[in-house]
This record gives sequence, C-alpha cells and structure tokens, in this order.
Amino acid sequence: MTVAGLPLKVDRTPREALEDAWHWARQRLFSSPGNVVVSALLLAILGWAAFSFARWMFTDADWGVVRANRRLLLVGRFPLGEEWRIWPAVYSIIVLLGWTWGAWGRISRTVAATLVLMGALVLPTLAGWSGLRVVAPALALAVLAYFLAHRLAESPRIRGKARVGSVVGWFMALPLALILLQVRGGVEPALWGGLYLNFVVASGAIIGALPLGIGLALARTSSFRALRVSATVYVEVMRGLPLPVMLTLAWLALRAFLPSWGGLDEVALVYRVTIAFALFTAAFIAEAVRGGLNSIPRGQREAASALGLKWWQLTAYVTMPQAVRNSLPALAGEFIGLFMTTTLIAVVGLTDMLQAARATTEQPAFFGRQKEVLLFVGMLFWVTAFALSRLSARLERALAGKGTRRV
Amino acid sequence: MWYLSHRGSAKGRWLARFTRLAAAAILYALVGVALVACSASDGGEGADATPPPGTTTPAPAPDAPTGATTLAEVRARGFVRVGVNDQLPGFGYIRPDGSFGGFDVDFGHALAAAIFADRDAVQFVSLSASSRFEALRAREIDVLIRNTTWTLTRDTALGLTFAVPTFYDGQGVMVRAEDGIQTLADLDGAVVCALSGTTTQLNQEDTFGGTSVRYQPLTFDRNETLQEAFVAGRCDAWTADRSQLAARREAYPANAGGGDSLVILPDTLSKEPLAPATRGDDRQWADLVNWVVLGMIAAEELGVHSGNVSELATVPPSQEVSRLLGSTAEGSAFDAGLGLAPDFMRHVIAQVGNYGEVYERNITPLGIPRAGSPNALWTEGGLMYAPPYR
Amino acid sequence: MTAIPVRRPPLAAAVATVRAWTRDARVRRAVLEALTLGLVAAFVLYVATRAREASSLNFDFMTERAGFGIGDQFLTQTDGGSTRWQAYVAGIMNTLRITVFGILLSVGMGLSIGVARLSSNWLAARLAFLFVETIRNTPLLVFVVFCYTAVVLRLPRIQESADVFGIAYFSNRAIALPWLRPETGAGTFALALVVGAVAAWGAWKALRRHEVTTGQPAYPWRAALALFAAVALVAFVATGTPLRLDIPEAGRFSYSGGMRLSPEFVGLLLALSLFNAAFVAEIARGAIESVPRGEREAAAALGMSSWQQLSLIVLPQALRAMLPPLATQCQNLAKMSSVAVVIAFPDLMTVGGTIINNSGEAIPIFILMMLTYFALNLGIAFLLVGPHWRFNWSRGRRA
Repeated sequence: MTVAGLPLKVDRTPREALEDAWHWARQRLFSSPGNVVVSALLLAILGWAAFSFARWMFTDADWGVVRANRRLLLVGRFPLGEEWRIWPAVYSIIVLLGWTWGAWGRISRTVAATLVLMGALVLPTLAGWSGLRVVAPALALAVLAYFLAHRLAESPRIRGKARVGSVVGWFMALPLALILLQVRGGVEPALWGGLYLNFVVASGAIIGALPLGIGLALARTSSFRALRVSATVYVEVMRGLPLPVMLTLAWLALRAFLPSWGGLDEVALVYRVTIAFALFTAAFIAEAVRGGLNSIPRGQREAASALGLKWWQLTAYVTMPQAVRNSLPALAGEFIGLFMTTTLIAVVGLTDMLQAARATTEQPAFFGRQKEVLLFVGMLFWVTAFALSRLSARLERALAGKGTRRV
Repeated sequence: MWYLSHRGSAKGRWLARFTRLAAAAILYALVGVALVACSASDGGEGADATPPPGTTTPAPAPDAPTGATTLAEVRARGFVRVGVNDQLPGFGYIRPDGSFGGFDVDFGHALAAAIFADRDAVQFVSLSASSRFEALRAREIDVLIRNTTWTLTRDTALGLTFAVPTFYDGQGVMVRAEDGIQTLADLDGAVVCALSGTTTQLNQEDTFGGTSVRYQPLTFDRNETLQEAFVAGRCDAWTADRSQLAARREAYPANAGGGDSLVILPDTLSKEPLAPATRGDDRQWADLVNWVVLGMIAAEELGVHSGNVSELATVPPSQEVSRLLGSTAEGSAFDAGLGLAPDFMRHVIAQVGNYGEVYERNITPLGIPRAGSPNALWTEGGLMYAPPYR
Repeated sequence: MTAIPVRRPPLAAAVATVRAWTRDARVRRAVLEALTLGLVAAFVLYVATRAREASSLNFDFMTERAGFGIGDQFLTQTDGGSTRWQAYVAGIMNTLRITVFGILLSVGMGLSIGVARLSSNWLAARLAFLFVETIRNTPLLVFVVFCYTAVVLRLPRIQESADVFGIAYFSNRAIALPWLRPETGAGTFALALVVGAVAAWGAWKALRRHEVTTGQPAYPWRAALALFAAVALVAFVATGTPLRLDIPEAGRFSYSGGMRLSPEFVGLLLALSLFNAAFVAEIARGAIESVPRGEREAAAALGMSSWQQLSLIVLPQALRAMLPPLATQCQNLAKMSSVAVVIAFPDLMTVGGTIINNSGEAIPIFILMMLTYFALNLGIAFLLVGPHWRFNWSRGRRA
C-alpha cells in the first residue's frame, strides 16, 4: 500500500521501518565522505551540548530564583492592589493572539507544538500553580477564540470581517494598556517595571510611530521636493543613529528641546524614552509603508486621477489602504523588533525585565544564578517573538497573491 | 482596519469607512490626551525653575523667588518623594516584601513624619548613580538621599543644595584576603573596579595618577555587574565608599567565600561626606530637610529617643528639649519657622528615632563601628554637631 | 476661463488674478514648497536656539584633563592625565575594533550558516535553522549580558588560567594569544609583502586570462600563492627576521606579551558576531535562493562538483545580490556595538557617557557621537558597496 504515490508503507514491520530510517539517514546524512565527516562532527557537538546542558539542568540548575522573583520580573515594583490595570491588557493580548491566528489561517502543527512545549516550560515556573489559575482562563479563551475565528473564517463572507476585527482589536488593545495606567489616579511611571514596562513602552512607541511613519512615507513619495528631501533626511538620520545614543539623548538632553507649555518638558523619563522609541521606529515604519506604496501599480493612480479624485481621496481610499495592507507583515516585524529592543532601556537606568533579572543575582540566596534567570528571560522573549513572527508569516501568506501584486 | 474590508454595498461602504476612521481618530486622540494629562500632572508647577538637563547653566540666583513650592507641592500630593538607592545593604535596599529599608531610607521616613506626622507618607524612587541628579532636577523626586557625596561642583554647577552630612565616609579599597595585598602600592598592575558616574572613578585617578602605581581601571554601570565581575575574579580590587564596601562585605555571598574572605585596606583615598540633596531653587525646602536631620542629631545629644519622647514632651527637662519637641508645657510652643507644626520633631523621634537609633538600626549590623569615627557625636570626639535649636 | 474681462475695475481685476493664481497648479506648488521649507527651517532654528540656550556649544571642555583612565585600549595610550579628546579617540578606536572584528567574524559565520541552511545534509540544515531562529527571536541585550556574565566571566581566574601548550592562556582576566611583534625592518618587510601581493594578483589575472582564452588549465591560484609565498620568504630572510613571535606569560595580575583581549571585548564580540551572523545567514540564504536553480543544475550537468557549483556559479552571483542588505546589516552591527556600555567595555558611547557625567556637557557630546556614528556608517557603506552606493533621493525603489 502506498500513500499519495510515495513508496512508503503505512503498516511497516519494525524491520522495514529500521531499513527506511537507515535509507533516509544514508541519503540525508551520509551521502558522501564529506557529509559523513560533517554529520559526525555535528552529532558529536550536538551530543556534547545536549549532555552538558542536561547535566547542568538536572544537577546544578536551581529555578527558585525565578520563582521567588516572578513578580519583580513581570511587573517590577508595581503597587500591590493595582493589578487590575494590567490584567485587561494582558487578557486581551492573549485572546487576540488566538483570534488573529484563527482568522488568518491554520496554526501549523510544529508551531503549535513548540508553543505548547515552551508554554509548559515557562508558565509553571513563572506563574506557580496559584498564578496559573489566573492565566489559565485567558489561555482557554485564546484557544476558544482561535477555533471560533477559524470556524468563522471558513465562510468567505465573514472572513473579511473576522480579519478586520483582529487588526482593529490590536489597535484597541495596545492603547488599552497605556490608558489603564493613567485612569483613576494612575500609577507613577517610576513604579512601572519588569516585562510590563517592555510591553508598555513598545505599545506606546508603536502608537506614536504609526501615524508619523505613514506621514513620512507619504512625504517621501510626494512630488514636493522640499517635503521629500526633509522626510528623506529624517529617515536616513534616524536609521544612521544607534538606538542607545537616541535613548541617552532622550534621557539627558531631550528636555532642553521640548516646549515648556503644558509642562511638556517635565515629562517623566519613561515617556521621554517612549518618544525616542517612537521617533526611531517611525523611520523604519516609513520605509515599510513606502515599500507598500511603491508596490501599487501606476495605473491605479492614473485611473483615480482620471476619475477626478483629489490627492487626499486618492491617498485615503486607493493607495494608503493597499499600502498598509501590503506592509502589514513588515509592520508586524517592526513591532516584534521594537518589543525586543525595548530591553535597551537598561541604558538609561530603567528597570525592565532584563535589568530586574540582573538585579536578582544581588540577593544573597540566589547569588551566581545568572544563567538560570537569563535563560528564563531569554526564553520568555523567545516565545513571544516566535509566536508573533509566525503570526506575521501567516499574515504574509494570507495576503500574498491578493490585491495588487499581480500587475 | 477599514482598508481590509472588501465587501458591502457601495453606499454602506462610505459610511462604514467614515465611522471606522472616526473611531480610530478618537482612539488616538484619547491616547494623546491621556499622555498629555499624565505628563502635566507628573511634572507639577514651577517648570521654569529647573535648569535644562546636562548643561552647565549656573544654578538660579539664591534669592530667586521662584520655585519655593516644594513643600506646598508635597502637601498637596499627600506624600514626599525620596530618591534612594535600592541595592546598597544598610543604606537603601528593597526588603523581600517590596518595601524599602536602610539608613538613607529612614531619613526619608523622618521627613514624612515631620511633614505629615506619618512616617509612611513617603514614596521611594530607586535611582542609579548616574540618573540621580537628573531625577531631582526633573522634579521626579523632592529630595535625594542616596549616599551622595557633597562636592563643590555639585553644589554649584549642578545647582543642588546639600543638607548637613548624615554620614561621613571615605573612599576605600577592598581586596581578597588570599591575594595578600597590604597597601595601595601592592596594587601595581592590578585591575581596580569602580562604578561609573561616581566620585570614586575620579578619586582613584587622583590618588594613583601621581604615583608610579599603574593600575587598570574597569568601570561598571551597575553594582550587580561589578559584584559579579569581582566574585568571578575579573577584578583584584573594588573601590567605593568605605561604608558601601563594608555593606558589600557583610552581604558577600557565603558560596563565594563570605565576608571573611575580603579585606578593606586601611588607606582612605578621599573624603566622602554623604548628605541629602535638594534643588537649589527652594531654600525653605532645603532648610526643612537640613533641620530635620539636625533635629535628629540634637535629639541624640539631648538624650531624647523614641522610648522617652512622649514623656519628655509633656514634661520637658530643659528649655532646649522643650523647643526641640515643640511642647506647650510652658506656654506657647516654639515655632521653628520651617512651615511645619511646632511639634514636628516629636513625631520624627517617636516614629523614626534619633540619629543614634537610626545608626544603630542600620549601620551597626554592617560592622562599621561608630565610636571613634567621624560619625560619633561631637561630645564623643566625632563630627556630629547640631547648631543651637533656637 | 481665466481671461480677465477688460472692463472690470482694477480691484476686481486684482482679486480675479489672485483667484486665478490659487487655482494655478504651479503657484500652489511653489507656495506649498515654500511653506514646507519654512516649517522645516523654523524647526531647525528652534532646535538650534534651544541647543544654544542649553549649552555654550563650544568644545573647549574637551581639551581639559579627562580625569579617568580607560583600561582596555586599542592602539591608544590614554590615562587620567590625557585630555578628554584623547579619551574620546580611545573610545572611537575601541568601537572601530569591535566593529571591524565583529563584521569579519559575523560575515564569515553568517555565510557558512546560510550555506548550511540550504545544505543537503539534514542535520546541518536543521542546526543552522535552529541557530537562526533562536537568535532572531532573542533580544540582543539578553545575549550580550549572557555572553558576558554567564560565559566569559565563568572562565577560570587568572591564578588557575587554562593554557594551551603554554603559549596561549584563557582566564577571565584576559585571553592571551601568541602574536607577532614587529622588530627593526618590519616596515621594509611590509612593503615587500605589498609588492608581493600586487605581483601575485597580476600573475593570477594573466594566468586566468590565459585559462579562459585557451581553455588549458593554468592553475592561477596555485601560481599566485606560490609567488606570494616566495616573495614573503625572501623578504623575511633579507630583512633579518622583522617579526618575532611574542608568547604571552602569566603574571600575578595579568599577562605580559602576546595579544591580550579583555573579557569585555571578547564577550561583546562573541555576542555581537553570533547575533549578526544569524541575520547575515538569512541574507545569504535569500541571495543564494535568488540564483536560478537551473544554473546549478546546468553546472552539475557539466560535471562540476558541488563545491565548484557553489564557489564558481552560485556564490559569485549571490554575493553581488547580498551586498546592499549586507552593508545595512554591518551598519547595524556598528550601531549596536554601543550596547557595550552595559558590560563596561569602554567604547565610544561609554566614554562619551563618562565625559557627559564629569563635565555636564551633554549636547556637544551628543553632536560629536552622532557625527562619529554617521562617519562610521558612511565608511561601512562605502567599503562594502563601494561605487554602487549612493544616497537615495529619488522617489523610486531603492536600488
């Protein structure tokens, strides 16, 4: 019996299975003398790495440092009793992840398995069994949202709405975090910390950077020379500057350049840093959107002007919607990059997750546990970035072949 | 958002687009308003009084009438904001329950007790060595009590005003006992680690610069990295204020050899008077901070402590104690003119203690003896001396 | 329709003219251009004024005594008594060092990992994929901190330093490797090497041309290498051993002799080049995949070995396609080297920060740092993309 034309037997005897495996290994690992050497070398290295990691993991590693400091790592010194400001944003992000994924396509088995595995590794350590009770409903909701959205997206009539809903959802959820930190007395910016600080800075920056970046992209493609040149200069200057320098500038010198009305030059450091991130990211968003604008065939503009559309009508109804849609994957990529680079706020002395992790090794009980806590932080970032990047690849695939790419 | 919809009648589409566009606009407006509103409340008044950061603009003239609002601001807010260290055992650190403790922190509690008669009407902001002055100037804090050395240029160029030192310190050098380093001269060729943004970094150059001792400086931006590096053997010597070194030595992890494996060299590289700092534009506030500290020193000298303060306030043994505690036992209370209730020191002593008690509670456990050091009372040969309380 | 009736009174005529102007595309254009220019100029003026208010904007303070020493230096000799300019230059040299070595290492690693990702060897392809995925989804700073505190600082102490046959030492004080120390005659020797290299290149070209025109194997590589080696050997003997092997020796606090690399440098170099390699690998993979498959198949049909296919057909074309994105990536590495401040490596940013801290002159230092990084970026772009590189003012797609 063969499956889909492949000469593979489904009901193989163990002997046959072994033969198949040997055959596969001959082809993919040991096809030539060179390959034999490479494979053997890599296998040796891999074995050695796996062995030393396992030995460290089971004999030396002590994850107590993460468990004892999980609050510090997640929210820093955020005041007790104010957590209600955090949960809605976290919940909506988790649920949105599920929904977006469902609406834009099926999650591949490898990705799902990786996420579940990583989640199983990270969550119990981080949340403890008590904290798991709070996170579990969100996860359950996310799975539910995934299946619901997936089901809805099967019907072509609703698919568009489900997808629009997901994008609108992201645009609503990101400001939510910032707004909740301000209402009803608010929480001092000096008390924001941990992973939540990374998240807040990243969302604040993307909210500021999107309109600015779109404006810059329009300016760069404008027929007005002055506009074009100044936008180009802005983008190139930002792309040429190291982010740490930008952040230090925001820290030490930005206040000298802010207008004094409304106490704007007295803005807290977190906001100044967020402004710096937004100004910086805008340049990269402008490039992404410009790419999207350039991918729109000339004929559309000509047709629009033949119809008598004014510039702003052309932009708002014809070019910009397509440009932004085409550049959605690139924009998602920018957001992932932004989220990871927010760890650089360490340069200005703010205590984000990474710095909180470094500070835990100060505690006498957990002295010398840098490896554990850094691995943990890296893994947490990794899971987030991995999930988001797969999602953006999914968007890319769903958008490919659609709209304007066929000229 | 709107650009993703492809379906629907031509009529409905325009309307739908408009609504979504409007919704998005409102959303962004909301975020903008929230940001601005918050930033405005964040800074408070007196925006024109602070010099721009990172500049050498001289401090405002001492008689500038502007900015004398810190006390009013604090009162309106309901608590004092104090910038402290969060990683220095003994002086400022975070307890496992998230609260702050330490010598510097207790002076923050004392300020709260003086203003609000409540030692907990205070919020501590942890600051790094290199961000502390900026935070003070940006009005993110009201007073900086973070093992900060009082120097001339910090007083002038940075536009700060320092209160009386709470602790007289000096820069020392700590080495591993097993390395057999006895004097500074033995450090020839050694790697000496320090924190950036501190006077330490400049002192070591002052000390070694003129001698034949060639050392290799290594400067870290955070204490925990320095400690990691020192424990790993990256540095031969660790230079910092002696009190800090003592604290580090005390808290030195047992699995790295414990405190006994370290020696602090007898040489003192510099004078480091640690004092609370306020912005230079507000004399009233500076006086208040100064006299709360002095009051605690005076209380120790007069034998007033948290155990006997309520008793002494009702039956003051002398005129001086009566003035210090603002007791009304003999007619009207002495008004210190600081804009505080006359009995503010009574709350400070009752809730926080006098200088000796604060020292005893925080510094003695670090193993830094007080007797014979500059931190003893002047009556015992030290430098702790409060001007007359009248 | 814009013709003005003759009988109108002068005022109405003027109004009509103005109205005609507002509808004239050229006039509107000119006005809008002027407006934009005005706004930009106003903004620049505002920034300049505020900078002027906040700082004297002169660089005299840079000639003052630095007052702080720099432990790890490259080709510079700065101590506390030097001026701040000298300290700043020491910072620049350190940034250059980390950038140059980082680019060399990461491009080398990245190319091999990119090729490995497309390898027919399943294990190599999988491992390369795993490497790229791990790195690209981890923040650089986590990586830098990990490489420094959990890898390099965990090397043995200097008292217990590990040595390789007594000629190289590894400890967390330094990594000391044998190195060549120039003696007298080194200059002449270097000159001879350059001459040899030029001669070898000429020989390679001539033999290659011969090979291409006649179709007879002329072994240009072997001949060129042999020529170079011969010139080098003769020059070495003639100038009387101009280079001497300098073997490091372990001392009490550090090593003497040889090439000594500080743990901060090694940690940062390791982190930056591994990190950058993942991105270079992706660029390389894209570039290799952009070479049509048919070319490789054609090469295979001609009997070329897989190494020949790669080195003669695929890589030359792929390299051309990957140069522009590679240049951007290398610029990224140069910029990202400024995270050095987090692990105490005295680069441009660290030294600049210390000067700001000591002098309070933030704005002049920022101007200096921006200019320096710009120059560095331009230099990288010019070296890598060379004459093809140009500033993109046009509206079209980036070349």
